[in-house]
Order: sequence, then C-alpha cells, then structure tokens
Amino acid sequence: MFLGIESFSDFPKAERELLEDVFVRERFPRGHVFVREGDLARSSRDAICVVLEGEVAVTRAGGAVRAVLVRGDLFGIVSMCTEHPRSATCTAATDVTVAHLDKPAITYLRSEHTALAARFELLLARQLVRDLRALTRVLCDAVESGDSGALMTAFRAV
Amino acid sequence: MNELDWMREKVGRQATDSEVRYLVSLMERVEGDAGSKLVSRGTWGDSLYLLVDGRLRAFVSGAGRRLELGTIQPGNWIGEMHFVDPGPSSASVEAETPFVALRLRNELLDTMLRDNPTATSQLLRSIVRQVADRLVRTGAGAVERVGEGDFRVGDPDEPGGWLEGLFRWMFGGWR
Repeated sequence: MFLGIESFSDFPKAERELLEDVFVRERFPRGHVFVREGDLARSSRDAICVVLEGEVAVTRAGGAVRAVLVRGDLFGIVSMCTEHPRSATCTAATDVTVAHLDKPAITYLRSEHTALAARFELLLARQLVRDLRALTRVLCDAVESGDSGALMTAFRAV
Repeated sequence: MNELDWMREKVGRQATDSEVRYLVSLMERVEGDAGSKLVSRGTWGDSLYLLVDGRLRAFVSGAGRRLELGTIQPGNWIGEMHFVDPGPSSASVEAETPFVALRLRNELLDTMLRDNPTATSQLLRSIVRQVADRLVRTGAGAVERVGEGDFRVGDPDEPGGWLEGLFRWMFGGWR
C-alpha cells in the first residue's frame, strides 16, 4: 500500500507492513467530501488520511483551491491534533483511494508499538512543517512582490 | 521552575518522570548575555531549544528595517521546525536579558527513536501540536480579513499596521 511513497520510506519493512494492517484502504467517488471547513474537530469521523490514488482538492470558503493532494500526501492531521475547527474542505477531485487511520488505531499504535508510533509522529510533524513553510512562502512572496492583486490571490488561497 | 519542570510542561502530564529526565539528559545547556544572538536569520537551523530562564526577542530585519515578532518567555520551544526538518532559519532570535536554554540537535533523532521511542513520541507530539496550531492561526489570520473584504492581516489594533501583523501571524506563536 505504502511501497514507493517517500514519506514512508524511513519505516523498516516490518513496521510498514504493520501500518498497512492498521490503516483502512477505501475507495471514494469523485465529489466525496472527506473534511468540511468549519466542522468541529475531535469528531468520531476524525482520521489521518494518505492519498493512494487519485487527487483530493483542498479548498477554502469561496471555492479557491488551496492545494491538490496526490499519492503520498497526508491530510486530516490538524483536526486530529488540535481543538481548532477544520480549516479547509477536502473533496475527491477524481475517484480516489485513501488509507485512513482513526483515533482508536492511533491510540493502539502508541500503546502497543511505541517505536512505530514515534516514527509516525515524526512523519506527521514533517508534513506539517512542509505545509507551514509552503504557506509562509506564498504569503512572503506576495508581500515582497508589492502587487496587491497577488496578495489578494494568496490570501484567498491559504 | 527547573529544567525538568519546563520539559514536563511542554511534553504534557502523560510523560513519566523517567521520560522527562531522558529528554533533558540529551539536551546541552546554552547560556548567553543580553544582546547575544541564539539564532540568525538565513543560517542553517537543526536544533530545538527550550528556553528555561531569561527573555528572548524574535525579529526579522532587512532594507534598514527591523520587525519585532515577539518576546519569548521561559517554557517556549524555539526551532521546533528545524529539529524535525532542518533548514534555513526564517527569523533571528536574540537575548533581551541573560538567558539559559536547552538545546537538542536533530542528529540525535535516530538514536532517540531507537533508544527511547516513548519519550521521543511525547516530544514529537508536543511539536506536532505547536506546528499545527501555528498552521491554523496563520491561515485563519490571512483569510478572515478577506471574508470581510479587507486585506489587513493580524490584529487591526496592533501597532505597526497590517504588514507587521501578517509577519507576526506567520512567524509568531510565542506570546
């Protein structure tokens, strides 16, 4: 399931196989909404998802596309880790296959497979750092350009 | 509060005494006088710091201008992004007063994952929470104003105007 996905390449083979056992692979039709902006976090539907096939569009109010997620990209981390309402809507832009991991499964990993859980926390941290760096880069570029149109576009997209 | 107390506060009550002691044991003590620089913008960053005494100030400067991003008090992480993914520093940090911080280098991460995954997991969860919170606040700070048809970012009452507010949203999180 995760073979060839760079972010999972640090996991030893045995751990990757275990992850493939606890993640649930599921296919969703185009238009399926995984996460809706403004919904309260910490709901029973909270899950960390990995895109395996297809594309997932991340949008903000007004429909501006913030990002298009492809194979290997993760989403759902922020809702799982903070009390903030969901900050964007994630919709299947094509037919999509994702692997998802819900809270009980994460709790199981933390209690029974501590080494794997620690490596998984590192993977989540690195994804969030990449997201935050990308966001600040967009805003900095827009500010430095001095172009109010670019700034407006950047604000709508983040 | 001592170093163990600050670490316990950061990683949360679920961490055991031995896990907290393990994390602190890996960290080297860094001290500096008022005016000394802990982090310089643009230089390679690979370390996490926990400020345990004193007060620091984060800022960005350029084109003859210096933009203050905030004051860092004891109990705050600095460089948490570099610890999990080393890279150039986006802001500078210097001491307002004499300070003491604990430094944890990225090069220890593999050893930590092997030797004490539970303690390492507690530390990483703390970092995930902090970065996730910054990510949400940065995006929200930018978008809220657009919703109102107003492109100012950050607290409109904040001195310095919308540009400084924007940078505080992007790099802040210490206050």
